[in-house]
Amino acid sequence: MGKFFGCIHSKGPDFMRSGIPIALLASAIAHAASAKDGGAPFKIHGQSWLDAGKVMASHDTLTNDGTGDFIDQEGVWLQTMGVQFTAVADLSGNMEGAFGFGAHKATHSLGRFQGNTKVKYLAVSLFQNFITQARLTYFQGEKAAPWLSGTIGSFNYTYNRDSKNLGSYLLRGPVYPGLLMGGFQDFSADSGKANVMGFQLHHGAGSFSQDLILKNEKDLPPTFDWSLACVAKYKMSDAVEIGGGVNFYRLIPYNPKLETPGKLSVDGGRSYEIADTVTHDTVFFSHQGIKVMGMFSVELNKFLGMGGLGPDDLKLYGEAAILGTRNYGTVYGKIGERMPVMLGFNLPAWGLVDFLSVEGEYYKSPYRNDLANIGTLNNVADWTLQNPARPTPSPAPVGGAYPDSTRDNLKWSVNVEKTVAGHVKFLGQVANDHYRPRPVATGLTSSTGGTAETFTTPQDWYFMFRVGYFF
Amino acid sequence: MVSKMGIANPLALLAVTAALPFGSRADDPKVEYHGAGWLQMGRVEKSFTTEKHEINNYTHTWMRNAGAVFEANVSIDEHWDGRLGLGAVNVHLSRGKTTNANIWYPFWVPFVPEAQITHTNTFSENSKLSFTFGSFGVDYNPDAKNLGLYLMRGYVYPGSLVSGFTGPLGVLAATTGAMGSYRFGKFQYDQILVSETEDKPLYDFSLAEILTVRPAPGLEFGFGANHYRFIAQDKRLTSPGKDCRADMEMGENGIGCFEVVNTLDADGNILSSDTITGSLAGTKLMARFHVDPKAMFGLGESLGGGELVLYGEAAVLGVKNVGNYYKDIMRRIPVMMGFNFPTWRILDNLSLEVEYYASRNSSDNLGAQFGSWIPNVDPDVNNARDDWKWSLNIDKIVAGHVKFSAQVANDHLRVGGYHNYATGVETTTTPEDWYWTTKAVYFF
Repeated sequence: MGKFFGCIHSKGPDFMRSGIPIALLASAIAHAASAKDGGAPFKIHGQSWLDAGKVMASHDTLTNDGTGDFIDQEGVWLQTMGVQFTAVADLSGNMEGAFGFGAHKATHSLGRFQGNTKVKYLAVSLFQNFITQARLTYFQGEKAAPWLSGTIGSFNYTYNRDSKNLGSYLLRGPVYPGLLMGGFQDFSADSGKANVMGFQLHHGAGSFSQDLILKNEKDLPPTFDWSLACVAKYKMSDAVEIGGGVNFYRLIPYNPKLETPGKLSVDGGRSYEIADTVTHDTVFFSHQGIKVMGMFSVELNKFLGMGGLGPDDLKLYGEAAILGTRNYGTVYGKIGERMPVMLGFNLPAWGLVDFLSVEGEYYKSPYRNDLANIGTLNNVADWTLQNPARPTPSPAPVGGAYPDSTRDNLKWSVNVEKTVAGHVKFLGQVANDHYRPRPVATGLTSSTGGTAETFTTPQDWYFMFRVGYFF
Repeated sequence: MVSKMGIANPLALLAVTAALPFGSRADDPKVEYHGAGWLQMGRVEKSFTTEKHEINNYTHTWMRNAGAVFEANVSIDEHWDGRLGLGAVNVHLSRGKTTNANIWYPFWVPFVPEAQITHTNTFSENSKLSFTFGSFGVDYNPDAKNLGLYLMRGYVYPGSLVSGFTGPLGVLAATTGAMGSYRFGKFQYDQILVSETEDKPLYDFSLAEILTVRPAPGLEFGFGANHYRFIAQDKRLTSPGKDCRADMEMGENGIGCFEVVNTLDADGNILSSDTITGSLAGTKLMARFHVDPKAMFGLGESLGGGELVLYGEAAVLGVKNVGNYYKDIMRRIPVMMGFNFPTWRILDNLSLEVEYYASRNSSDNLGAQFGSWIPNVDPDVNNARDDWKWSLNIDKIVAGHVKFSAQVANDHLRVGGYHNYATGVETTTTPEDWYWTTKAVYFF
């Protein structure tokens, strides 16, 4: 079966290949659909958007080639657009399938590289396609709020629906190093797009709900690893909800040698540390780790009883996480440097907009929030692929003097959204967040960058707008 | 300069947009789906200029693409409607380079033909105001089959022209930005704010204004101006100054940042040098007409709707003379005329389009793609031999959903380079050059 889904090229156990869940899903949907005369009833949903904005201040964006080459993002205009369709089918009284696809415009960053602008003329602008969903869901109880359900395939799972930009630490980003992800309308935080490939088991009982997620790594190298996460939420009252979760990140590695590289030579960083120069005790870093998360949401408007407010106005919410419960080496020696904390508040808007929120984040990591040692997931075109080093579980750069990366500890984001006529959306964001620009093109078939954040000092910021609609 | 280009107009559009009726709501939009699949195939029969280039000889090069597109037209309520689509097309790098045929490879390229949302206020049967946002086609000259549409296609300095088939669903290459349209009686006024997404430098804003007049049945005139790149994303890219360094700021494909004009004595010695700076920005003007004698005189009821229509378009590509390359405005005026021959409904279209453009500059736009407003100079090419262009187009729809099209032409086809070799040179640059292409489309 693997041949038909193009997944026979990799080493390792077959069950870890991402093509298998899709194959199972496809055949299950086909089987279920064929069981009905005339096919399964389905509904198509669509979405279209145009984004535009500008980086107003950006001080130091480095490349990922280890040379420290400098990409200047200041003043760069950002623009993209996209379209997606998703078909959701009722396969039986307690089974639902969904699949869809889309395309969005990807363009090399228009920044300056080493002070020159010719990269702006080498930039490639093209459409990249993606799968919105490819899932099969079995449920017991009401479809909208089942007491038990299981989902397999590519699907969306957003445990923190209050978060507009920051947060969602449990399922975004690596553990060692503990890097944060995000940006304006980040795909991984968009409920209309799949962010999990794998399996979800959901259980709900009144005010309590819990989810078990078995997630296959499809974004960050080393890919094909399996992570096991559990999220539980409890609604203490009509206005207060608390939640917590744990993620055994990369619990089942696709290739243990990639997971814990040991003393394998690497180009971009070191995967071990001599902990004791006398005994030569060596600490080996691993991509594996355990994330722990806690979150809360309080709807103050229900306490205060203020009239005229929108349903989400005056909501206070927050999330904190530990990115790696284990201390080891000097790089990962302080747990306090691996704890991002986010707080958000929906300001009163009295129905003028859907929400107007402010989010702030503090993360005391002394290292650059840079994926350089992990890999680039930001490439524009196959023929401009970079040549990344073996994915290394260490911050970038590691060894020697670390650059001062404490100036990016505070992040913030102001978001506003307005829905018109039930289907047309206008969004705006002003932020200093974890947006990573795509690489700059350095030749017709080469590029660099794409792993480091644009905003690394308190003075950095950008704005974005979106107009779009959905049905 | 900005005030001359009507900066107040987009502000007016914004003001009207702010007044949109945000309170209305529709829960169940009506969605209409359309789709198409096609195969296009053809061959370059003669390409005199490229035959001289060992690395990219397009004579007898086959061209082929196949694809499919799926679209949805969404009617949200009486004011809001949208169109969105997805497609994929199978394309190949050009085969001009035969010595490296091993790096001639196909791609499946996804694309978005349309992603737009429109708000319309209808005041009366003949009066309505609409605003469109997103990615949409601007078809101000629906008669044009291949040539023309100068206002919205191509650079100003250099004034390189663009041509080509429309999409399988009749959708033009998408323009990204916003458009305001006001129709009142026999007049229609469109104002389009375009964010540049195809030609570099990217994301410059252009503002186009088009007035269409229909004074009598069968008679239509159009006038337009395009303030091309009037807001630059980076002024230094769009308008390089005297301190511009081409090697750092443009790269190896840039022609140069400025023009140096030397004054020579009788012996050819340089007496003085003058540096002339320029810009990719400029103003295009356009005028067009459409005459349908059937509608004007009640003729030929047995003829198809488009038959006997005579149409034409002319433009000024840059109203300002600059340096030696752009010193004569008459050489920046392309003119095209087209005629739909009568076929008595045997065909849906049999048209001939002819174009004259007296430019003495190279039609190669690669330099412009790297920021040069100065045209490419190839001493081996006689730029006076590509003044005339022509295109013969045929369309036939069968069973309401199957369309066969064919084109024989000497036009502005650019088949591109190969692998990591880029080129913006036109394929047909002498009167002897031509190619043909056919397309079979199924659509619903």
